[in-house]
Amino acid sequence: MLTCETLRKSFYDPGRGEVRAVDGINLHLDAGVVALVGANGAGKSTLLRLIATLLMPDSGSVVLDGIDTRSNPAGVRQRLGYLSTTTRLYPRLTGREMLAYAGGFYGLRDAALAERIEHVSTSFGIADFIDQRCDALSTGQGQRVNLARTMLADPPVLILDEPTTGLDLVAAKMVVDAVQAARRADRLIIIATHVMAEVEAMADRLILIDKGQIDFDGAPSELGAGLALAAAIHQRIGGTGTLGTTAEAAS
Amino acid sequence: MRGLDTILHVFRKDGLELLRDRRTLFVNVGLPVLMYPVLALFAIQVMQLTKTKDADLPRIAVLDEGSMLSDLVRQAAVPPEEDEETGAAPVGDEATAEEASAEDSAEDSAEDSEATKPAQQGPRFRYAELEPDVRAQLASILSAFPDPKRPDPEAETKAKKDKDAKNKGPSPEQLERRATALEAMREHELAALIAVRTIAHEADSELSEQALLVLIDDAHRFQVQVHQALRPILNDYETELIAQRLTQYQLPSDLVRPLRTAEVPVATASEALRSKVAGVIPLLLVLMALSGAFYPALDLIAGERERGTLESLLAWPGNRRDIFLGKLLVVNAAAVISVLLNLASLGLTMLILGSQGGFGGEAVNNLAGGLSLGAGVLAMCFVALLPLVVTLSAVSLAIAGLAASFKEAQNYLSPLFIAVMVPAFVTMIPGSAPNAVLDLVPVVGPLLALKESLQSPTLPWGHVGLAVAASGVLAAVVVSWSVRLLDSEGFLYPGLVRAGWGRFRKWGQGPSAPSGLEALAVFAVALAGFLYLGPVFQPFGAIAQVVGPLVVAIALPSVVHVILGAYKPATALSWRPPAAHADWARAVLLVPIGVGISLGLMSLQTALVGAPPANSNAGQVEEIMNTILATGGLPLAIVCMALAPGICEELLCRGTLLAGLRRSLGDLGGVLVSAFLFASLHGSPYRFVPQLALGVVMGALVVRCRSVWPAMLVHFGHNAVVVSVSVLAPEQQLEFGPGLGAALAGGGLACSWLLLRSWNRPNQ
Repeated sequence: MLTCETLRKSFYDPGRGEVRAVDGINLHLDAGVVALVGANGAGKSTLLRLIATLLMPDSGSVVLDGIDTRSNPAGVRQRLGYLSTTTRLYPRLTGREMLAYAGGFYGLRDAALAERIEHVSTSFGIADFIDQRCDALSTGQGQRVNLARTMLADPPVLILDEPTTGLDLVAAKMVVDAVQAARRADRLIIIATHVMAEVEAMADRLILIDKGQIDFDGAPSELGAGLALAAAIHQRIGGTGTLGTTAEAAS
Repeated sequence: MRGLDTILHVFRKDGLELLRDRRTLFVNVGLPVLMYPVLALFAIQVMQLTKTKDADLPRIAVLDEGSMLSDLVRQAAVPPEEDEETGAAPVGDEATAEEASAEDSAEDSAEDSEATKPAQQGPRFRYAELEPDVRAQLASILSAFPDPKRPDPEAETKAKKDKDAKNKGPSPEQLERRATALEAMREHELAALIAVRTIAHEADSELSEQALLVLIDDAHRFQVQVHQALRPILNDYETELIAQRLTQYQLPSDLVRPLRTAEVPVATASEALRSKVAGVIPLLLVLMALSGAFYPALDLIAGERERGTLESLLAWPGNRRDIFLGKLLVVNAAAVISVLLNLASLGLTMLILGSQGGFGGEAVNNLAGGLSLGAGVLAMCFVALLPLVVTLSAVSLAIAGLAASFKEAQNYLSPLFIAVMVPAFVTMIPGSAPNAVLDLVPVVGPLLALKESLQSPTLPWGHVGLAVAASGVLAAVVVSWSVRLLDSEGFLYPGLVRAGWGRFRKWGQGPSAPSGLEALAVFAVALAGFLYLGPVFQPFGAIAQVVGPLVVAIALPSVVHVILGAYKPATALSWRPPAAHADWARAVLLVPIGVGISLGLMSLQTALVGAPPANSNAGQVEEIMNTILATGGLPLAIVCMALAPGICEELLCRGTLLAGLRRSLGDLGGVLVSAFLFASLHGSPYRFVPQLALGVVMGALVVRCRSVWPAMLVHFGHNAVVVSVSVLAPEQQLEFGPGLGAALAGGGLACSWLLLRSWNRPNQ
C-alpha cells in the first residue's frame, strides 16, 4: 500500500544547523493501524508530512498505491486524510461549511456530499453543533469536526499526527474510539503519538523513530505491555530518569 | 477536481470568509465609503473654524499715508466693515464671479470689465492703519536702508556668472538693519512694510523717479499670499505713474495700455475641474487598489497559515496553483470593489453636498459634475487599471506568504506602498502626459493613460493599449512567479525552511546560491551608491568621475555580497568560462547585432515620440569626454566608457541580479526583470527601450552559455563601437528613419534569437 525507499529530508535549524529529520528510511506499510513513536524532534512529523506531500523528499521516494508523491502529489492526496496538531478549522465557517469545503476538493458534490456530511456528523456526534461557527466550538468539539473532516471522503489512508494532544480525557477517548471505528480491512491508519495506552489500544504495528531513522519496527507486544512498553521505548531512545530506571528494572 | 472548479471553489469559500471578517469589511468597504463623507465633514468644520480666524489676516502697511500707493493698497485690502461679519467669501462664489466677469469682458469694454471687478480678487490681507508715532518709528528704521538701485540687466548677468559674488552673503551692517526692521514689523504685526521715496533727477525735476522699499517678513505664515497680493498692486502703481507722466507731456495715458485682454473660459466649469483633478484621481484609485488588495491577501495567506488552516488546505487533493489562483481572484475582486466603492462614495458625497448647497454650492456642483465620468471613461479606467490591480494583488499575496507571520507581513506594507506610490506620483506632476516610452513603465504607464483619459476630449486608445499590454506582460510574469509559491515548502512551513527575509539568518553558512530577493537587495544598495557617490568622485578628475562610481557602487556590492554570503562566484555571479569556445565567437557576432538593435530602436523611438530633450548635463558630459580624450585619446575613452561599464554593470546585472532572479523567477522571469532593472539603472527614459532590449539579449546569452563573460564582451563591444564612432566621426548621424530603424531593430532581434536558439542544439 505505502512504500518509502531510502527517504531523506534535511532542513536548516537556526539552533542546530543542518538537521537530518528523516535519514534514509525504508518502509512498507499495508492496511492496519501503525503507531509512530519517538521523542520530540525524532522525525515523526516530517515523515508524515513527506507521505502527505506537504514536504518533498531530498532523495528517495514515497509511493502510495503505485502513485509517486513527486510525480502526482494531487493523486496521492486524493487517497489521504491528514490531521495534525497544527491543522485547525476555519473560524469564520460553520462546521457544515467546513466539511463542504473539504469535500469539494475530493470531488464530493450535492447529494453525495450531503450524504457523507450526514454520515460523519452521526459517526462523530457533531450533529448538534454542525451549524455553529467553528470559532464558537470547544476544543473537543473542534477536534471532532476536524476528525469528521479528515474522514469525510472515506480515504483509504489516514494520517493522524498526535490527534489527542491538548484534549481532555473524554475528548481523547472519543478520538481513540473514532480511530477504532475507522479501522477497515483495506485502510491504513498511521498515527503518531506519545501516549502508550493509545498505542496498545489501537496499533497493530509500532515503528519507533529516533534521529530520523527506524529504531524498532514490529508489534507493540514485542517490547512489552503497559509500563514496560513505555519503559522499553524510553530506554531505546536513550532516556534517563525515573522512567529509565523503571526500564532497567523491567528489562 | 478540475482547475476552474478548484479556482471557483476556493473563490466562493474565501469570499464568504472575507465577508464575515470585520477587519476586511472595514478596510475594503467601510473605509472607501466613509472616506469622503468624513473628509467633507472635517473640511466643513475646518472652514467654519478658519472663518473666525479672519482677524489673523496678514497686515500690510504703507508709510506714506494718503499717497496713491496707500490708496491702491487700501482698495485691495479687506474692508474694515467686512471684518468678522461676512468672513471669507466662498471660493466657489469667487470662481463664479470671475467666470461671469471674464464672460462679460469678451462682450463689453475693458473699462466696463474693470468697473465690475470685485474689490479684491487676489489673496486677502488687511491694510494696517498706523498711529503717527509708530509711523515715525518705522520711518526712522527704514531711513537706514539705502535707496533701491535701478535694475541693470548687464550687472545682473555678470553677477550670476561670478560665483564668488553670488555666494557672498549680506554684510554684518545689512544683517543688523534687517533685524531691527523685522523686530519692529513683528512688534506691530506687519507682514509687509512699504516706503515710497522720491529720487530727484539732477537735470529735470519732472523726471524724478520713485523708489519703493518693500520689506517683507519672509518667515510669516502668509508670506506667499503677501507676495501674491503685492505683485498686481505694484504693477498697477507703476502703470499709473507712467500714465501720469504721459499726461504731463500731453500724451494719451492709454499709451501704456496697448493691449486689452479678455480670457473667456469656453469649457464648462465641471470639465475644467475634472481636468484639474485628473492627476489626483489615478493616485487615489491606485491607493485604494493597493490597500484593497493587501489586507485580504494578508488574511488569505498569512492569516490562514497563522490560524493553522493552510496545512489542511494544502493536504487536500486540489492543485496548489489553482488554489492560489482562487485566492488571487478573491483579492482582485476585493481590490476592484474597494476602487468602485471609493469612486461611488466620492461622486455621491459631492452630489449630496452640492444639492444641499451648504458647502460651496456651485463649486461643489461643478466638482460633482467634473467627477461624473462617462461610461467610456469608466470602462477605460477599468481596463487601464485591471492589469495593475492583478499585479498588486499577486505581489500582495506573495509578500503575505513570504512573511513568517501576520505581523511580519504587515511590516512589509509600508515598503510596498512606497514602491507603488513613488512612481504613481508622476500623475501629480503638472503637464505629465503619456508617451510610448512611459507607457511601458509599470504603474506610471497605466496611471498616465488614466490621467489622459480624464483630461483629453478624446480617449487615448493608443496609450491605453500600450500601457495595458505592458502591464499585462508584467502581471503575467508576476502571477506566473507567485502562483508557484504554494508549491514551496518554505511558504507552508516558514519556521522549518525559512523563507523570505529569514534566509538572511543563514547568511555565511554556505547555502548554494542567493535568492532573487537577496539579489534585489544588492541591486538596491548598488543603485543608492551610484546615485549618491557620483559627487564624491567629482574632485578627483574626469576618469575617476566615470570609473569610480562604476567600480565602487556597481561592481563592489556584487563582490562583497559573494564574500559575505560565502557563495561560489560561479553560482552567484555566473563567473566562469563559457560552456563552449564557440560561445566567444557568437558573442563577437552579437556586438554589431547589439549596436544595430540599439540604434534601430533609438531611431524608431525618435520617429514615434520625438527626439529627446536637450540634456541639462550635456555640457558637463562633453567636458568629461574631452578631458579623457585629451589625457589618453580614444584608447582611454574606450577603457572608461566601454571596458569599465562592460565589466562592472555586467557583474551586477547579469551576474548577481540574473543569478538570483533566475532562482526565484525562472529563466524567462529572471532575464526580463534583470533587463528591466538594467535599463532603469541608466535613469534615462529615452534610452530605456534600447537598453531593455540589449539587457534581454545579454541575459539570454548568459543563460545559454552559463557564463557572464560573453555578455561582458558584448557590452564592451557595443559601447566601444558607439564611443569610437562618436570620437572618430562626430559629424556622423547615428539616427535613421522609422523604416530603417524598425528593420535594424527587428533584424537584430531576429538574428539574436537565431544565434541564441542555435545554442540549444545538442552537442553545441
